[in-house]
Amino acid sequence: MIIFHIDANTAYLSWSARALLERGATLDLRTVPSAVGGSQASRHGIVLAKSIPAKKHGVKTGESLFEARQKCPDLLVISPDYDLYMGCSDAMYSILAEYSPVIQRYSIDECFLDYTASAGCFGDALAAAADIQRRMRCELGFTVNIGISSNKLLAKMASEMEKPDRIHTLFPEEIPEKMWPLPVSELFMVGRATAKKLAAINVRTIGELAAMDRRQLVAMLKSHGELIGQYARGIDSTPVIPNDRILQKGIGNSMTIFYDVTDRSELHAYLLSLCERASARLRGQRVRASLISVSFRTDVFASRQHQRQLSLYTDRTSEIYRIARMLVDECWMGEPVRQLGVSLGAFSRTDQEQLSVFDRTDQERLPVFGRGEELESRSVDACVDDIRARYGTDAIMRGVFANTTIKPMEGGVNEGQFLMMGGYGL
Amino acid sequence: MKIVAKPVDAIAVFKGSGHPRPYKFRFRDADGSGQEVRVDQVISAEERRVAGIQTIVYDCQSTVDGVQKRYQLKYLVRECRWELYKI
Repeated sequence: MIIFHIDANTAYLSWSARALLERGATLDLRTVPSAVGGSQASRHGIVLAKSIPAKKHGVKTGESLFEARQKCPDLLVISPDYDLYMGCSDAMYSILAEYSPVIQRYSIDECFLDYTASAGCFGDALAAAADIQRRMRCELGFTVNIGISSNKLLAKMASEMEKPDRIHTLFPEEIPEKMWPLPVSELFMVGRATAKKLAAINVRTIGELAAMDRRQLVAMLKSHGELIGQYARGIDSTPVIPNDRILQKGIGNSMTIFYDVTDRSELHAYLLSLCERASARLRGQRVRASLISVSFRTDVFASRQHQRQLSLYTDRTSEIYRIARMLVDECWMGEPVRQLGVSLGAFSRTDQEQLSVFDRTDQERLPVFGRGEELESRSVDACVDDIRARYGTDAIMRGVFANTTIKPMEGGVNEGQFLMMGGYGL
Repeated sequence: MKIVAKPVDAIAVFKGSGHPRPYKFRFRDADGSGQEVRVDQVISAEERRVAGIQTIVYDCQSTVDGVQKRYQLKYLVRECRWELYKI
């Protein structure tokens, strides 16, 4: 097996920088401390991507623009352009598709490519990678890092090594030399919390983690311990799965509200508009969810999350909202809410259904005004989805949103049709 | 040549096959006065997709006020728009 991991360097930033140059800008944003961030006026003021000079000042992705400016006062900040990013990602994919039919779009700026069967056509993997890299630079105007190895994990670890515009290999025989000396936090799936737990038992490098006894790791970190133990030894057997064959595991939708909400009915209204988008996407994927979770962040950036596993599967907006509202009421103590989110998981496909004795059939029927008939709420949802697909999301809305600033469907970028940075697990 | 990337009004010829060919274009100076330029010769046309934006860049030549000038025009395919790209 030969797997490539292709990762665009400082993706959002270099794409924006390249597009600006193309429009006649004289300054290349990649060469100065700069960042892509949301607008501070609507309180979306976090760093989405930063240039390499900004990184040297200690600017981190995800921190607020205020914090970033304290570290680097002359930081240039530009707004994101998601249409441009999607175009760049598509262009990147279309070049890769010339080299192999087996490509997994892991996130907007990363792809895995299975080169195993392509070697007969394009020859040596390193030469092909160099060719891909040159074409990205010349044809698309941005640089990529390419990691080459025998599985996805090692390919990803390789592409993360030295940036920008580099090709690294990390084959199993190179692990002791190239991967084991790295700090354990560099390992895929080892986050802040895990790194802290490992530091407590004096495991600081990936090599030390690889040398640990499996049973001790499992005792400490459960199944996650098993996973990172294998990763530290470079073991990963997941194939490169083209995206149309991936069953999405969760749908989430969240928003930062432009003021702090303290009123319960207003919070419910925002929650409903988030549920509207999330459940419409659920129906679009032809799945039903049985796990509903709500999360919020208060004005002092404290986060709280609450979830419930249902005994049935649902894709109905009203039902999802009813449960989400119950969850919010159970865990919200009235503190001012800055950010609100709802996410759905544990799917089953719409064409398969487990019937339940306790289904709330009474809730499924709605009276239709003036006609003395009843309509199934499922067909109402389908009807609303059709109207919105044809005439826009504002074409039909619930009464609660009339004469308010709340949109009938909140959250999401590009109408919620956007592949985010960061990926979703191998 | 320097990038100016200025939107222009343009007339182009679309033949049965091949790229559209710019025929003439009009751009406005900073003082608001418009100038019309006939494209005398298209030297080359190149499809590009820098930053994922599909464009066709034309290397052109025209005589403006008695002086022969080289410049580049750009057609942005998705936006269906012409730009004076480089002069």
